[in-house]
Amino acid sequence: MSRKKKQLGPPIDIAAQMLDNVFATCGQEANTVSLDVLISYSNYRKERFIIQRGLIGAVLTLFLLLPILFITATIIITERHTASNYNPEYSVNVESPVPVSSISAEIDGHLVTVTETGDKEYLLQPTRNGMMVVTVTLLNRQMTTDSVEVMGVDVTQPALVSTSYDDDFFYLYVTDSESGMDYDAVTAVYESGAVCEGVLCDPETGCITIPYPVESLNLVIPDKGGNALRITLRPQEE
Amino acid sequence: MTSLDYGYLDTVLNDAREGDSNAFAEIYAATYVNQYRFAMGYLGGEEFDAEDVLQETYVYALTNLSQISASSMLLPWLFQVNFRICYGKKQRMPDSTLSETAPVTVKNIRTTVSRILRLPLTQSQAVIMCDICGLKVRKAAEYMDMRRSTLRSYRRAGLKALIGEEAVK
Repeated sequence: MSRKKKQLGPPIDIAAQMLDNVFATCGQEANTVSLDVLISYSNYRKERFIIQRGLIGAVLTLFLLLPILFITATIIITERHTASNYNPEYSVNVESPVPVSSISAEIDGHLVTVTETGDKEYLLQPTRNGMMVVTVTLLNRQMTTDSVEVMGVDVTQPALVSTSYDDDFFYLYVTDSESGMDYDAVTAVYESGAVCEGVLCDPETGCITIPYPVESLNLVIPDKGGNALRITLRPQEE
Repeated sequence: MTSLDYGYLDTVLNDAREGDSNAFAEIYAATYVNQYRFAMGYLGGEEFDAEDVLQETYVYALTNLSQISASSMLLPWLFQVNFRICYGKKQRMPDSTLSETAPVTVKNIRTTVSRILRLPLTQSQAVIMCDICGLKVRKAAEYMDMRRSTLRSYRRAGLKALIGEEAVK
């Protein structure tokens, strides 16, 4: 069963007739523009422009924002050396009015550690030498890359020159030709997990003196470039 | 949200006041449907009575347009004219006990229709529509082309003024 559409007002011809009666009663000339034309144009309604205004607004917004989609970034890479780190570090400044979405760096496919140090400022600490490629992606999906040749990263571990021992001590002579030995970071731990006390390092001779081990002893001898020589000492079986 | 363009209607109102029949016809086109619905509702669905009221309302409007200065007052003013004519019709009905000076109780406030009609236009119309005619706030706001919150504010202010009058008595 179909529902009859509810008529909200009087039929338009009756409404028009009533309007004519109003003018006649007041002795005024009737309207020349018919009521149905006035209703169909409905200039008195607000919504007639809402859709058009909305469309114009959307198109204008798109036009204004369009150039932003093509803004790229400028990457400024600066090498820096610090007293605390033998290996070179690189600071990266990104110049762009558009915020940065992501930044990455790699050398020969190996990712480089990137640390954010400020607004669009980053610190790169490569651990290998080679061509480092830095890629910056902005929020507008624009990608910019730049590269720099990384040299001077110490990738060689300290070398064991010679060893000797006596009844009480074991002597290791080590050397590092690049960043230099980091004697303060030398560690000696027994297999049982106990730390070996009494390890002495002589930077002048490069000699590391260890109490003769009674059980297996794991030695870690690092250099200042973050590389380490690892040695396991086992007591001679009698 | 309002649906009439009051900026546009201000211009039309000025033209109508100067005797432009097309301008008055445009005001009629913008307002007659809800005026008719209101009269129909108040007079219990009597079509011919509602048509009579509609005609009388707009005759009054055409001869008294100078009473309103802004189109934002147009709807409350037309509805008040409409209500007075409807109320008069009901008063003249056989066995009617209606009277503008007879006491009525509105939200526990004892008052009269004539006192309500003396309130500022929007307040009196809000009270009349909701508390005398029994319209729901949603429908009254739709008729008056205003937000429900706005109608409620006017109604609250009107009732407060009536309470004040009652207290003074």
